Amino acid sequence: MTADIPYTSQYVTTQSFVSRAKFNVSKGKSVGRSFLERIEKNIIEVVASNELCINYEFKDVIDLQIPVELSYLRTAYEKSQYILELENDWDENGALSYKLETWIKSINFIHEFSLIIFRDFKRKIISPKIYHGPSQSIDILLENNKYSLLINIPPDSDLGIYYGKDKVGNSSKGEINLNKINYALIPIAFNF
Amino acid sequence: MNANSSQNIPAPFPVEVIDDDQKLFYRIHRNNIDHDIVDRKEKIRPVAFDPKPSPHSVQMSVNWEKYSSAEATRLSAPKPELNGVLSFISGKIRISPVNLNVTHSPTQRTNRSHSHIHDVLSKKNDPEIRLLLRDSCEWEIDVN
Repeated sequence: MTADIPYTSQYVTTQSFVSRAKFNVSKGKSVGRSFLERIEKNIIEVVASNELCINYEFKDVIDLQIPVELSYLRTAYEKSQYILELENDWDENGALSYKLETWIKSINFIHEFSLIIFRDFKRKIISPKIYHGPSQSIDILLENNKYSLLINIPPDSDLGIYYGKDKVGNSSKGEINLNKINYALIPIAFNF
Repeated sequence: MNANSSQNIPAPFPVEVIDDDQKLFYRIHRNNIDHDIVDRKEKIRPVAFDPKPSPHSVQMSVNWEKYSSAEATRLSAPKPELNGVLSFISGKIRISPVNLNVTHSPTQRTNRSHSHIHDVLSKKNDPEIRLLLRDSCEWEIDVN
């Protein structure tokens, strides 16, 4: 915890999201038990005590609080909702539609990652572009004029993969256990 | 008359070597473009470089400029009006950092230009090769 910003123990990822996700599991929608357990363990405790938050809600499946400094995340999340509107054969080449569960997993991941960068580095993550990916996966692209980081969230497993590179030959790639994320191993994608 | 007569059935197209300076045309569906972005390269969503038919394919189909054109490639789509066309220089694909094989693979008697970029996804949904291919391509025909 840093000295510069006074922190309280407000929850950023809300309990209501967890409870609603649980509700969906009980209704037969497969969000994944380990996924829920991780959220509960990993709920982020820190927002500056004088921090204002805005809300991002989607139907009855997502309810997130976003610090006002990161309000652009809400725009990114809203834009990504187009993924859920893609129907089978959206490319006229047989591509399949996308699962709500994969999209929730992706939003939760990038939200948590953003908040950790905000908390630990006091920096704003690059505005994420959340796109449909190959084979019903979801791509999260963090890109500025210096480097690109592409994270892929799969529909059928909890092993994400990422690749990052800059314009001068540096690169990094790896895997992310979405049930037990070690954020220290993922390139921190903020504007230097 | 013999149905297999060589007079009635054209010979298969021979497989040729694609030189490094040759262009390869690749269709891009409008759903794979972020129309909110101005930068012509960054507006290409990385999913555009996805071998078809997914999920088991590992090679991308392209058309060799020797026997095709950007417009002919666009017109080969089920709905051409929903597609643009990108191109790659085969030599740039073959060298680092992309390092993929390019071969001529003519469709028997129908598409002499048909070629493959091989091993595009060595790992499922590999983000590395998709970003590198996006860096390597150029626009030929845009789509709104």
